[in-house]
Amino acid sequence: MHIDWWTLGLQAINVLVLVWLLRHFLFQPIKAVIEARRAAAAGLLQEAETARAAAQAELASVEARRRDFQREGDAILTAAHAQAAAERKAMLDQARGEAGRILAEAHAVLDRDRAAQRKTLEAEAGELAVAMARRLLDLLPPRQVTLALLDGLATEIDQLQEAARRDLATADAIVIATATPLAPEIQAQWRDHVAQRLGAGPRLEFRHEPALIAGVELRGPHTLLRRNWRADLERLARALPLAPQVRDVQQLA
Amino acid sequence: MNLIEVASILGAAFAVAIGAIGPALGQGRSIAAAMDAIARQPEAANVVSRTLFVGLAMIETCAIYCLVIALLLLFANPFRG
Amino acid sequence: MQSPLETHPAFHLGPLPLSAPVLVTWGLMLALAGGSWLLTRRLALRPGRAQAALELVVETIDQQIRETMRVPAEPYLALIGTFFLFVLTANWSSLVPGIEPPTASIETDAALALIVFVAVIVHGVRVRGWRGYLRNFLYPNILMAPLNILETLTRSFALMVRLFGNVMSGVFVIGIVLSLVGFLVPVPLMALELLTGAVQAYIFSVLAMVFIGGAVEGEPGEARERNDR
Repeated sequence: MHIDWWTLGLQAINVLVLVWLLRHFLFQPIKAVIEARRAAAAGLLQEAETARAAAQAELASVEARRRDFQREGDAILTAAHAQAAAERKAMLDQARGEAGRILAEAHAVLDRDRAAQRKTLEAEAGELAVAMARRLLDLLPPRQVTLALLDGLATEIDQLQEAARRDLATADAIVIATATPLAPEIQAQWRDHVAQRLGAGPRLEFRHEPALIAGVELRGPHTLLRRNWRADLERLARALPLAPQVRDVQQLA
Repeated sequence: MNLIEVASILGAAFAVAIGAIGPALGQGRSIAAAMDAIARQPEAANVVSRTLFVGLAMIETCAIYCLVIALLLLFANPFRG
Repeated sequence: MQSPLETHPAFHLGPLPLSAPVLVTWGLMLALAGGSWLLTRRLALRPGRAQAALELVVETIDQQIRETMRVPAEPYLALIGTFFLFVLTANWSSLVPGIEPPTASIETDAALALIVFVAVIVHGVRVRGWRGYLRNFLYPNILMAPLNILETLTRSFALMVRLFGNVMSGVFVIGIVLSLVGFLVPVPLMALELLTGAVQAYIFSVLAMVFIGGAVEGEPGEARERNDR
């Protein structure tokens, strides 16, 4: 057994030199490049992270702006809706008021027209009625009419109050006016009537007054009894237009 | 060929032969144990196999010692003169 | 038959006797350093195929150191990596006809083991100081100090003998078989020798890591305290 110390020493030196060589030419460059790649990757990741954060911030701002726009649009829309509603309401109110006013005016005009028309109609109807009555009276024979009227006058005398009757009874003369001249028998008959009712006191005078259309009058000193159609017609014509309740009934009809 | 040479050759043969038995048995046991451990814990296979290699090298060292002794007897026998 | 235990100078360079292992080692140094220089001359962030392979090798060694020693790999990467690459290429240099691996001579293995021995002391003292490093020998108590010192010496010797025995026995066996048959029969043995060479390179590196790591880490209790903190 023999150990070559030279070889041992040289090999030790060789290995140490090889360690230095490989450290210098292999391990350090490889580690450096790996570290550089790691740093680059970290930088890239950092950069990507930064970019992502920036993009997210941008997105958030866009989102916020969009929300603002939407809110603004909503506000504008709401305001427009409110304004439109108010305008429509105002227009509606105005139209309604206008319509009401027009309606009221129309009603008033209608009422006025109707009243005027009715007045006219009533006046015309009154005139027509009077005319018709007059025509009817003209158709009747005057003597018959006078006789009927005289009967009515007699009834009225019967119905006179006590004071009036006494007044008539104490009168000097009582005038009986008729539209047609009375026959002598009828005058006699009337003298009987009056005597029967008022006593023999008053003297009867018979007068012929054509102005009395189909009528008779009994004129005492203080009493005037009338029984003629002219007076009735006049009274009727004075009473036109008719009493309110009568008019209502007419309207209802 | 004298007695010392014969004894040296026989010693070398017996050294290698007997010296191989013990490490063989030990390596077999250790490999079996390592297989068992890897089967139980496959995720620890790296650590187990590294430890196994180191252990095998340690055990093998015994056989290598015997081999070196045998070579010394054959080639560098100090008693051969 | 020539003794595998002896190395003879091939020729003398002046007073310097140069043996075959030294010459082969120089060739290996030239190849390794030159190849590294060529490949790392233009490194890029986007690695090519060669650069990716180199990075894979370096990263694997780095990771092994980190997992085995449980410390940052930076101070030990060059030393351990060189051990692995040199022993591997030296073992596989037997593929080249006519070249005997430098690790098959005991001087080369002794040099490697000596470097590991010195590196253990250097790194232990560098990290923990003289007192801290020497306290390693007192574990678990002072009675064990002689045994610890003896173990430090014997494990270096074992490191040397293991590598030498494996490589040399392979070369020896192949040489014997080659002298007997000489054709095709040694091929399986050579394949086995390649596997053994790779495994031995790995084991040498791992053992160097374990030794240096033990010196750097300190005694188990202290390590546990450090881990707890």
